Amino acid sequence: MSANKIVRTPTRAEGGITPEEKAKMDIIAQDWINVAMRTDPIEPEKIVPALEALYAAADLKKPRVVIVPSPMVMAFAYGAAAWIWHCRKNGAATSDATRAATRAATDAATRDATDAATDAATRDATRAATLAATYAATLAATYAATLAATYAATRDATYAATYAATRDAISDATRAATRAATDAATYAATRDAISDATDAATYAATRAATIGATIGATYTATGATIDAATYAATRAAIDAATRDVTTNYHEIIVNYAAGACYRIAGKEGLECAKNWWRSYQGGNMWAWLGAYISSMRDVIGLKLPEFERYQPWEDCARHGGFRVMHDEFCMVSDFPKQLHKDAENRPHNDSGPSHEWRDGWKLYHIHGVRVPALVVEHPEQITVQMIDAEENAEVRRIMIERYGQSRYLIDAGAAVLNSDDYGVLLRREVKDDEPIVMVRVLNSTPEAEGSLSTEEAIEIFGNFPVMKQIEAMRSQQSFLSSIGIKFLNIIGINEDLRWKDYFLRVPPDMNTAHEAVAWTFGMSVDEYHPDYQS
Amino acid sequence: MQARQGDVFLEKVSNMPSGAVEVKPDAGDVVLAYGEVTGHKHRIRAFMDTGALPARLFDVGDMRFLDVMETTALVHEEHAPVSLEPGIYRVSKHGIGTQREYSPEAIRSVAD
Repeated sequence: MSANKIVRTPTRAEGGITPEEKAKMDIIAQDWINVAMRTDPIEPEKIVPALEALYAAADLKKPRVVIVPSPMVMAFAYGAAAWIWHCRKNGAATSDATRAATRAATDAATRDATDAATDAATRDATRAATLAATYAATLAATYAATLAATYAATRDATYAATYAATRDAISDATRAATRAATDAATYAATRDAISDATDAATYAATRAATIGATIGATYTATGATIDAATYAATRAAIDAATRDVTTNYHEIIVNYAAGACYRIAGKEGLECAKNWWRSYQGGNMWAWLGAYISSMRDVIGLKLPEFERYQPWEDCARHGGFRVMHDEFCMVSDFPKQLHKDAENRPHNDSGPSHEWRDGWKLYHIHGVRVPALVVEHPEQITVQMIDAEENAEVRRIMIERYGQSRYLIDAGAAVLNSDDYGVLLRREVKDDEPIVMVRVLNSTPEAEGSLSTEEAIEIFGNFPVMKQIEAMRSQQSFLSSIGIKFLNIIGINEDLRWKDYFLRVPPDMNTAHEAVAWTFGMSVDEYHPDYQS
Repeated sequence: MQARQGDVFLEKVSNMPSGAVEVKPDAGDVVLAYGEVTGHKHRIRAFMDTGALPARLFDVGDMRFLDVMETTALVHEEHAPVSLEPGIYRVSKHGIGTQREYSPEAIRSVAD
């Protein structure tokens, strides 16, 4: 590392970073990680003024700020509200719908998602009457017209006015100014300081390409720490939720937030909901920018004029979750009430939801893989049919693990590749994945609670291996008693022996059970010839 | 001579590499390996009459060796004893040769 001269002025930083600065940046990174992982409730008195200030900083009119309990509700409430506002502004035949307006749409979506079962019937009846006109009017439109209009209602109406105004004018401008005020060494060192080697590696391997292409190389790898566990998981889940309900209309009835959106704003409302991501910002889950700007401002000491306009952005990141921005309204999500991750910062919970919001919306992940709730909550209900029907290979693997690899092998009808004195080699093909190859071996010591009788053991493993074992046990027993060694727990060798078997997974290219068992000890067929096994 | 007791594999070797560090007995027994879940032990017990241990255990780097001085047996709560004649044995359940299971390659996501 070259000894660059350290330069620190309010408008210029050069020469990399010092160890003291690095230590302070570590604290800042952790602070922002905590922000991203936040699980205490959103505070309206903090987020509402912050969002109003954000709009003001972008020279936008004061929005109606609506706090929603989860990103999922946000997406559907946004869809309904965006469509209704679009119709109101464009004079479409939706006068009934305009009465509902933004807050009603949000309230309905929220309420439906949270206490769906209690009064759905009453509400449905009233809504059906009042919203019939909207429904009829919107259904009359052609599909192409619908798409064009919903696109206009979401992207065109909101992107330029809000998203671009806040994002480009505030966060991008702040980043650009910050970058311009630093030399390459300081910039790079700061980036490094707010990540760590592990996360940087993960980040590069998974999301760097996407993030780099979409939002530029200025983002730091700090994002990886929080990104994997929060942002990606949440975003993918809402995408899936909106996509599923909008493409499978029959599911609307079981998804109350979507149902409310549909009843209030029709199919167009759902199409708008699908476009939620066009005008969303990540809030606390975009914490890497907060960590980066905080480091440049509070540690490096830059005092750039852009930082003043940036402040509301930072406040919104600290005090709110995902948000969607419209020129009339801004919806912001509460934080999840629980969020679990593994040591590699991937969303993970073996025994419950990885994420749960206060309206009851839950996500389930096993080491970063999103799985259906049943896989975690009721693994005993997993069946071979469900496993084989699962399209996602990673999810299928988890289902097989939970079902039991060896049980799956037997229940799903594995092929016997080979049977020799060491055991039985079994193979089951798995779609889009490696085959499962396991060696089934006889536990050499018979046990009182063994699941197999001697007869059954012989049927599976053959007469010779079982008899050989009984013979070896007899000779051991007489030898050991001759030198005065007392057996601890061994049961008598008699006609009623019970045997246990067990399974070991081995590489798919194994040809014999002998080769497979040898492999488990890191040995070749030629090397592995135990004289006695117990 | 090779023997296996559960997931512990023993192989008689001609001598012990240099640099061996003795592994202290545990509660009077020479414990070759502990069960991960059950706490069961693959162990050699002292002679009841004299209290002397018939074998000593050594670590050499990431390998483990057993020096059997008098004929004895390896015992375990769930497996039959394995008799051992005097000599040096390499013990698998430590470092190289520990019984392993295959883990498939990570699935590469093509979507991201």
